[in-house]
Amino acid sequence: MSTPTSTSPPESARGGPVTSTKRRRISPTPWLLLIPGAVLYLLVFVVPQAGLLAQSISPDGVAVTTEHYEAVLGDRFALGIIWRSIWIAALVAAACAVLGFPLAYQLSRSTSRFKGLLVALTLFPLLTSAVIRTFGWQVIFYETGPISTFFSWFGADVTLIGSQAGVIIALTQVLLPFMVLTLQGVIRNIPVALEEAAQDLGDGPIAVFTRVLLPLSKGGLLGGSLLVFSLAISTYVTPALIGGARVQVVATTIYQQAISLVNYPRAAAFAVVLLVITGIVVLVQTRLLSGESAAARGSER
Amino acid sequence: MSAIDPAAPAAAQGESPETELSIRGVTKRYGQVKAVDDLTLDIPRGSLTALLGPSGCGKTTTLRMLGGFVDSTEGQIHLRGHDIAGVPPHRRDTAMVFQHYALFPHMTVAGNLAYGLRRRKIGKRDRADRVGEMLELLGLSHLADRRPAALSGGQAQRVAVGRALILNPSVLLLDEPFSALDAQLRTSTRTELRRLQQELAITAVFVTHDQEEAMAIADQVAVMNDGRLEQVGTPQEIYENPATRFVAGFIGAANLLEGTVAETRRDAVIVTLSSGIAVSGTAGPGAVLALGAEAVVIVRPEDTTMSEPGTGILDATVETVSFLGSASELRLRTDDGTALSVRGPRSLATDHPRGSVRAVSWPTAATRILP
Repeated sequence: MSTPTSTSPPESARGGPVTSTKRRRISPTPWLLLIPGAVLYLLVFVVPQAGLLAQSISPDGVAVTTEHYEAVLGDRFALGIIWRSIWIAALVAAACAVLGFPLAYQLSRSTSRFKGLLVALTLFPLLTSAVIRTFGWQVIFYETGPISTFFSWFGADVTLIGSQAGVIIALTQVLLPFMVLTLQGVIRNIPVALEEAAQDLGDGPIAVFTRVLLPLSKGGLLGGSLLVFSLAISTYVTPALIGGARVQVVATTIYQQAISLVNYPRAAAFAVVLLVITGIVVLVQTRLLSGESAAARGSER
Repeated sequence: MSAIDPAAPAAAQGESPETELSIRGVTKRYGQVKAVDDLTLDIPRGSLTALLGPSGCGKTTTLRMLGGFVDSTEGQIHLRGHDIAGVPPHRRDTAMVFQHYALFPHMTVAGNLAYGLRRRKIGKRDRADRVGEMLELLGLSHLADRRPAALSGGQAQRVAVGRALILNPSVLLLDEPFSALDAQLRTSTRTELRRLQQELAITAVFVTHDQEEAMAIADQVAVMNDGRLEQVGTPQEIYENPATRFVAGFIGAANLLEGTVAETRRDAVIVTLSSGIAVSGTAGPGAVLALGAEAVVIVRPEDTTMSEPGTGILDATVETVSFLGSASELRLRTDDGTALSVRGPRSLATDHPRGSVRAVSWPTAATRILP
């Protein structure tokens, strides 16, 4: 993850103004280094994706039809599924940002000798598969599980299994490490002296956060949210196991169309729509990110 | 001051009204390590004080205690007579200039200057006026809309100073304010800072490891070593009358000649060097020199003169000759292996070639003897 808001003392400390747009001649060798990755990407992503696209607009390979897109984009129920996927992914990204920031901050500022252990603990969930973790949540969320039991003592009937809230909670836990990792890299690059300077100029802890930390980690928050959003919107296991039939999202619908209903063209159309949505989100966030780093470099002059 | 005023200064014991900041027996312990050990120092109003010492001597910790970033383990710090222990930085009437300036990269120069004003109840127009005045004072008006990344080191330093000064703090604290600048810029910047400090008559404390920097601009130099205050005084006092061997060696260049006290008179002390030569000088400030005790004779290289062998205090062989432009510096060694440094006019380099034997002399008045 790039750190557009890096604030290490400027090289300009040594003298004349820095021209931030120094152009260097790029040798062709770096392009050669891209080849292995590009080939893999082409074989396992671009080619199958093109196949999907082809199948969605021309199932028999001869006639072109928009029938399947009409079925996806023209149908209330299908649109509802797409909207729910976006909504869940956005909420998960927001929840990860809110929960991840304090954790990432503590981890990057900590001078404790247990710091390594703390970082490892944060990443530990990544070592277990999402399936296992989701099963864990299933046990916790079940009608007779601890959460429902707890609320039943107060006479409330709370069942998270098969609910959107359950999916969001479980996904947040599954994806939180990605947010923490991203944010940690960015916060580490914000010198502590900036926080001290803000304090020294009269800011209490909340003002230091809103006026210095937050604007300087915007890049990390955007990047982390992007990562979490893309993972959340395309995830299958957690919504399938926690949400079940009641919380249908695009990924579960694709599975249903392809495996249960053997309607490959419809599944392909859903997949393409999902890809386009994710693509738009990536584009918007990249645009925001580059604007951010340009501002930090002061290149508007 | 009214006696009923509850906010009346808590301690008037020996604290002169001219004292802005008073450090009383302050100790800072990190586990078993004493970063600052029983430091007592008064900082007069309107003065520029340098906390000088090698790295790890506790000078930065001291500055951070003054700023409220570090709590002292023992002792008190009084700002205009009020104990400021436990007062967090944002409620303290001190302003800090950080070592790498810590300018906010997401704000313009004007935004950085205005940062502290937003916290104080100052109207928008008034704020803009004060930023404008400060930009003018620092000669940065044309850079108001720049981001810190697009500033040179010297400009960034001025913004950092301005950002602190704009709040009219009682005390300006500067952490190695010149260390991030290149040598040439350092000299002009320090002169500029001194001019500004005197013009605004603000009390300022700066930390430095560069003795030349401290001597050049400070009214008062506090030399620290190993967490302790070695000596405090004007640059001239410290240079001419070092109180300890450490100060003598750290401030400027000095020849330190080991010997034993042979005789103590009312106005002079005579020390017999290991080579048997007797040297006289004045005892350093507060030095207790018992007969027969070990002592060190301190002679500044620029106080020495050279002559034909046998006509001076001791004879030595010229080992290296350095031509420095405005002066020359020679290194000599006596027969018993004592190294001597001599500084003098340019002609010195040509008159005393390497390998020649010369007598070295110095006036008694310029010689200090320390235990």
